[in-house]
Amino acid sequence: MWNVPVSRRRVLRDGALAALALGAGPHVLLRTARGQSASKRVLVAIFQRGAVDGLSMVVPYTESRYYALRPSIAIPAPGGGADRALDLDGVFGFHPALASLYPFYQAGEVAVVHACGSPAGTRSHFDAQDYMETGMFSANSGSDGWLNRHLQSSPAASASVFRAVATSSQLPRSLSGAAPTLAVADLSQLRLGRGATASIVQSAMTEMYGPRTDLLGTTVNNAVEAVDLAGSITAVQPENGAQYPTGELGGQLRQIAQLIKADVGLEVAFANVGGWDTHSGQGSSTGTLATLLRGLSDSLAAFRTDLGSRFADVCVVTMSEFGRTVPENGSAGSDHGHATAMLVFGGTAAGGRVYGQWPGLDETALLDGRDLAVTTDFRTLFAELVERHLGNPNSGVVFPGFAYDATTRLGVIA
Amino acid sequence: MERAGFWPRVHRLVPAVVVAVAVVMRRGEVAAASTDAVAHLLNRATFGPTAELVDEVRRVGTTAWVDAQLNAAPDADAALDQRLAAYSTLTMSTAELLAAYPEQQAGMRDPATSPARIRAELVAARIVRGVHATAQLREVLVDFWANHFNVYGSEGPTRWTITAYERDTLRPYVLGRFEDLLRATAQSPAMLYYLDNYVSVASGARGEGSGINENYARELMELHTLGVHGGYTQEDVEAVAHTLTGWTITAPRAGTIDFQYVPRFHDPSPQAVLGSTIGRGQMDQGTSVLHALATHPSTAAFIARKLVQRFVNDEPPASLVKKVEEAFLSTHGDLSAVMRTLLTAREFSSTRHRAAKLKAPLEFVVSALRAVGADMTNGWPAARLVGLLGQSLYEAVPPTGWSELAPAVVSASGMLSRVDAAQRISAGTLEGATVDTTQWNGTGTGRSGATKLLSSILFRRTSKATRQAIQHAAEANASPTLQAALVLASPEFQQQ
Repeated sequence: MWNVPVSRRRVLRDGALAALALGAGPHVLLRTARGQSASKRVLVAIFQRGAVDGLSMVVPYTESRYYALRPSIAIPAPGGGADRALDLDGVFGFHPALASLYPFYQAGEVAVVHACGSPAGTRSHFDAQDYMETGMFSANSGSDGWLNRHLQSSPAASASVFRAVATSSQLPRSLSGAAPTLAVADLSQLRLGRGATASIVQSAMTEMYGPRTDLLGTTVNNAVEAVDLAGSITAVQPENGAQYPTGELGGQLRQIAQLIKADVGLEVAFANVGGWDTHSGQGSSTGTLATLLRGLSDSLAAFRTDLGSRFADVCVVTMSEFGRTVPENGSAGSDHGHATAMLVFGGTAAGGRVYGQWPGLDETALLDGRDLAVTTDFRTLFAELVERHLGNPNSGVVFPGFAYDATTRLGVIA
Repeated sequence: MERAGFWPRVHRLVPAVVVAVAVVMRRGEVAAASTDAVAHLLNRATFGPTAELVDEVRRVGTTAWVDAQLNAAPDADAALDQRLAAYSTLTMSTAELLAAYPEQQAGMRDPATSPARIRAELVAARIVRGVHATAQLREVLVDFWANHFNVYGSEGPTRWTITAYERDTLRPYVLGRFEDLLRATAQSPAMLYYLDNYVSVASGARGEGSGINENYARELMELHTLGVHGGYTQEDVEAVAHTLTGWTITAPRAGTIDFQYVPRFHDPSPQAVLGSTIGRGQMDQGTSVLHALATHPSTAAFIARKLVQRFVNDEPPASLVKKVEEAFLSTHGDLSAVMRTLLTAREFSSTRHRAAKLKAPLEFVVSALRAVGADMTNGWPAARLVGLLGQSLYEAVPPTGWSELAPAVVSASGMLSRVDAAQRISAGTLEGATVDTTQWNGTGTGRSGATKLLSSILFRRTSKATRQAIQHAAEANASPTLQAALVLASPEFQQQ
């Protein structure tokens, strides 16, 4: 698998040089780099690390037990006022900090999948993240990430070095595996050498790492290749008056939009956003969690605005390893629970609806008497994104042992 | 690795010459192999080999050198102390730090007295110690245990307690008893705040709705002692949380931030923990739980595996894990004995583990500074560089700390940034790190020049591709400092 990209890289680079020699502009050069990708669809996965409280993000405001069990952290039911939930369907409401996302829900671009989560029972962040990122349920399985298995199994495989990008300094488990990927926290870091030394440094790096096919070698070889196009990508500016908030997610989505608009063959992007482990002082309509949710919402809204008509091919999904306890804990926070809510926001989303079966908050409905029960296996949602959004019919390869079919289909992708 | 490039050419020579060359080669290889073994030890037990250290280990032998490192007195490095004297916060108490670096009002911020300065000095000192300390193994272990018992140092009261956390909680115990280290972390204001135990109280003890917080109890078992598959249940998490209620901190407005046990916050009722009953009690309940966890067989297995992953291989050899685990159990968690077992085991020096690990950003930066003989006049710019490369010390958010494993330490942008960092370090343009840039002037060009430069930085054999790349760079008129930077950027220098 690893031997192929090296020669393909040469072909690409020569092709690009040929295009340049013929006097074609940089746009043509970028189109060449896009490779044979048949699909223009892009999936953006956002991992809310630390376990987001789905019951505050998407509030079940008709449940009296929600208010009884959460005296200090519940979100007031809709009814006007900046501190109240924003009604979605007469049963659920957005946290008021998601106000900037709300118009897109009303426009049918945002769907919610509630009571979604993992069939595994763990309350360990790290095991639960591993399970969700590999789509497998054994500890230390060494498995590839589910997004990497998509890259490996998709019939529309592209050769672009930017096909799968994580906007982080570490490659997330979701993307790890045999198919080439790129982890880059800041696209402006994609450069080699300074001034007069640049060509010497670039040659030396190519010579030293070129023969290597291990993790180190492939990472550096991909990085060196990416350097060629980085300048054209970072020159892309936000459009339509989009204003990305400062903070962990805004900068990542701004860069993902740059990759999409630069037409460099992006198919899967991955962003991390942390801080959701709200064990104490979680807050209600305002406070710690509200600030995090506002960052999420404003970043997503800016991304949507920036992309304009390009959003038709794009779908964003949020995920988190588990949800939090239904009863608040002894320090005005919440502990590790099970099901949470996930958002699907895209041009291909059948939005304006809350999907999934609501298990309710009655004592007997709760898992271990404390957690929201999982009624939608996260693999159902992810498999639907793989099959219906990315057009890869091999979801059985992406999620071994899991059947996605007409009976499990959510319908969240139009 | 050199052999692959060399042997085919030898075979083309006439037989008599083959014999002569083969004899020379064999002799050369014996020497090279032992240098490789020394370099291997120094790559794992220190922040990187230097010419002096390689000589020292070859002179005294590996086992005697390891023993000397294990027995090095913590305060016997006068030259280092002199370098650290610039960081006045290192020796200040939490109360003194609170007084000298108070919370600042928005719009009236002064960097000279900002609380942020406390962590900045601490991590700057970590770099200076990493580069210059003679007790290198201790410094590597401080890094290991600071990650194992991770706290986030740039938030809330931890901004003032982080200095005491490293100085009083971690450093005294990294070669001491694990149980002492565990108890010190459990009673440290930094950990009590970071994992919320400071607000965990008996039901109703702090007003309506107040009660336990599971965060610390869970991570105590999952990450600090037993490991996630070490045999505990959700009921154990809750029971342990109950036993540790009342372990809290004094409020900063009291003038200091110290551990305190508050009996009225404690739930004294008996608890069933890991199949045993912890009888009705006060603070002794928590101490009993910590003792049970520190001496639990799952803890020995978990710590052994993690140490072998750090010091030997991401895929730890089972036989060595077993040896280290047995040493942990038989010595009741004597971390010095544990490290001696690990570093002197036959498996440790097996050739298959050489260069098998990748350096994390801290290891890369500090080993590069050592390789070029940097004189650290200020560690902060290098500490910032470590942060830019993805490992900001005391700023890992999740309680796992920064991962040491290969997939976590290698990324596209991170590796390109290392190339940039290598150029700044060898050229002496990284502020605070003075480098004699004339040191490579006489290295020469051609194959022998490249080989000489490589071995002066790496102390072990390299691939033909790397040697040729350095040779070609010299032919393209790369300056000696740029050639040195390329060695620091080579795949061999990313490995340890």
